[in-house]
Amino acid sequence: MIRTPAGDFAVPPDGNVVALQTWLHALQSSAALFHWRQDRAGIDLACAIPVAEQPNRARLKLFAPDMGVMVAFFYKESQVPFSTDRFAYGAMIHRRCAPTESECAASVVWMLSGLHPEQRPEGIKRAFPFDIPR
Amino acid sequence: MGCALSVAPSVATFLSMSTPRRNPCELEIDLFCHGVRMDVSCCIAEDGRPVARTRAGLGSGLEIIIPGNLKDLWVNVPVEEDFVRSSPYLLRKREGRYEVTDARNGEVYVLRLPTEPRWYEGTTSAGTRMREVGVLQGTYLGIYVSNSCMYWYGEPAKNCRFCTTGFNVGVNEVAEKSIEDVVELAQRAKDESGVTFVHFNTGYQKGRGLQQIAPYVKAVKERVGALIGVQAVPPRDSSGLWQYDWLRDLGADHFSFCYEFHTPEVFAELLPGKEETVGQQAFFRAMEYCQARMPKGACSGEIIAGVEPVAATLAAIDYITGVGAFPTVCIFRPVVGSDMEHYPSPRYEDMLPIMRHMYVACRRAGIPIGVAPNIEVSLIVNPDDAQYLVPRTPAFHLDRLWLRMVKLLAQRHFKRAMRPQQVRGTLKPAQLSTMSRP
Ligand code: SF4
Repeated sequence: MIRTPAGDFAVPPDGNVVALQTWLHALQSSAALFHWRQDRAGIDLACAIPVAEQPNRARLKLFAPDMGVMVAFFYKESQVPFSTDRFAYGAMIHRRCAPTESECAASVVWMLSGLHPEQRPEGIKRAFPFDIPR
Repeated sequence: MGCALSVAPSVATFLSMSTPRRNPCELEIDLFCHGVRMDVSCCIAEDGRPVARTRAGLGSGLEIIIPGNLKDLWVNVPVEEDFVRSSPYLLRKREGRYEVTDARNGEVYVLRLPTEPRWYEGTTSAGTRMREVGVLQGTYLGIYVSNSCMYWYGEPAKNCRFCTTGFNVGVNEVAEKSIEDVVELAQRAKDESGVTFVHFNTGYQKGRGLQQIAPYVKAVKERVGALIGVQAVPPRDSSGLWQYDWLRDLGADHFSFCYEFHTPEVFAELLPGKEETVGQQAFFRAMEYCQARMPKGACSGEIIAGVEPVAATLAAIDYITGVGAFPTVCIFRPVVGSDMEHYPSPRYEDMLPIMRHMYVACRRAGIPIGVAPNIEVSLIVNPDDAQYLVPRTPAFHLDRLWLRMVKLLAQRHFKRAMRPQQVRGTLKPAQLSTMSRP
């Protein structure tokens, strides 16, 4: 069980607990505010800090697609309310390892920019062989 | 449920009354360039097609139909991109019908929304959601068969800079398409939506793209029956061109060549993967090879307008029509999530002469347009959409008459091509065993 500000999250037994803990620690200790949507798969967080006076569309989904694998998937939601589309911006994939503090910090900065293409951190995979759960 | 996409621009933004009323194709072009904002009265979830990004290279918008007296136009209008927030066009629902209002001059245009096919929410017998296997783009069924495009894998990624396909696969659609899923989907789309054309696309597969598509072509031609289009990165040199003949034997009716930009430098800069692996000439070579063996207009050259200078796009249209192929001209869209997300959307004034030129060039080259049954592509300005852009002279009417006759004569051919049928080719031709990996 991982304790988060929004509640408890049961890590799947085959998930990469260390990577998940590192991410949650980094997010909790950053100055940014994130909302956790508990109706979504994994831990799905929206950045609540506006960009250029517009709502920030940046989202992060942490989930475990495979044994020992943890994925941090960055995306935006559609701005059209009837659409279920997701606009993917890439993912960090942690296979039996955890992200570094600087990787997490750069990702938070990127989310604060609204996932600006020129601020994409290193280590973000643009393509990955996983289906992203809803 | 009301659906709003609105940060409404101030009225002062649109003070100019100099914008004249648009005819259907002018409106289509203007909507591609500006997008449309949505009023709270819109209920697209109930009245229209969901905004689907499956197989979205340049398209992620709302499907609409602009009625017209020459033909109705299918348009995939931008709604997601940031530039849409300042669009003069507002879509709303009034007294049960949809209309867009142009805030610059108060003109109102009545539209239709194509309804969502019932099969979008259906599943295949293997349990896959059908809309995650393929979607309608206009009136044709588009299927992205592969597990993403290899230009996206590797550091740094070599993807085409306008594209988001590598981001979509596995996110908005399933990563691998099974042949059974595809056949079931194609059958339902044909039965329920009157689909006549199934288009397979595969991005870059390290020289194996055409082979990857082959079994799908054969299966759909034999078990469903439809016109079949194929798009893949072409072979690097002429030794691989036999694959197009092979695919024709398996049932392919159409090949498209997406070389996007005519200026070699722009091609190299914005399509780094294509530049490195095959080069621009490979597209020209393959298109010329195929078109020389197929009826006029059976191949198409796909280009994007609004990034390189207008003169370059006009030259591209002349080249494509010059080889007898059909120009498919997309208006550039800075798609959310792409590397070119922050590029400006093209200007209407630049796009208008391009589309007019496209129509004139097609007719000058004798390329039959609007002849194939029920194929309307919503992501581009179809060449026959652009008939609204030329003066209605006696020659124009005569030409329309001629095209109608060609359409009538071609009907039998298309009917035959759309029947399920045993194909000539086999999935294992002798040449495959001698083929080297590029
Ligand atoms: S070839 Fe280019 S446009 Fe096509 S899917 Fe790959 S990156 Fe996208």
